[in-house]
Amino acid sequence: MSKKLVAICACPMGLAHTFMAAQAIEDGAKELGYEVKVETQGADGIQNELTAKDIAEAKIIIQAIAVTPINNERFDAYEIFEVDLQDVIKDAKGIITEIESMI
Amino acid sequence: MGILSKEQIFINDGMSFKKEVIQLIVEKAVELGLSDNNEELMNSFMEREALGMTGLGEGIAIPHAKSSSVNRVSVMVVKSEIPIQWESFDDGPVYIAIALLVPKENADNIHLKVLSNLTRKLVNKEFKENLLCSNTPEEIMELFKEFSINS
Repeated sequence: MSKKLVAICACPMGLAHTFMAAQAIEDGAKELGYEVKVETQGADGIQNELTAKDIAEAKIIIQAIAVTPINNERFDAYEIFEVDLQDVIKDAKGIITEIESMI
Repeated sequence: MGILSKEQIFINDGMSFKKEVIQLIVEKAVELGLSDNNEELMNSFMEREALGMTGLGEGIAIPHAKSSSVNRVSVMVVKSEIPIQWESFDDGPVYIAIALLVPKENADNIHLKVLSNLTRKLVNKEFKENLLCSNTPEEIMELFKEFSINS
């Protein structure tokens, strides 16, 4: 079973940073060999929603957020890494690598 | 009706400040019927500016407005031949401002999807480089098409 990374991206207006962060995380995680799924909570609502299974199977769970995500209770039993949207847009690969060194 | 057309792309060679550029975008948006209230739209853009920098660095800025004065999801682009002073994460100037305009309510989901495709592309190095090298509205439209941002 390959290693999995899941993330959730949410920011107040949900027009730009939400999606840029999602793309950056997807690209970065894939480059590092992860199977990745990123949920966005933007102006178009919840897309690509993370299921309980997705979360349970993930090696790393990232929240790139500037607001509390909807349905945040899903993550209660798990270790979350909260990151700044701008930081992850700039260097998703670096941030994921840093998280790897912490777990 | 797509979210971007040639008429929504402008080349700047005179303005050096963020606020002037946003003012131009607002004026043109009203002229083109994308918005029906100059003042309200300007306020929406400036409210977002107050929340945090829209200058992403590398010469690109993404001002955005979610407002009841916006009639439909649309994008306006200002490509500048001169550096524009615009608070950015790398402290550098801006050469291309991509403004996102979204209605407060009843925004068309398909258009929002196109918009999210566009913003996702802003993470792509090649796309950004090509954007910065483009000189005319036609070139920019071509670029969007090439990167399958189906406008």
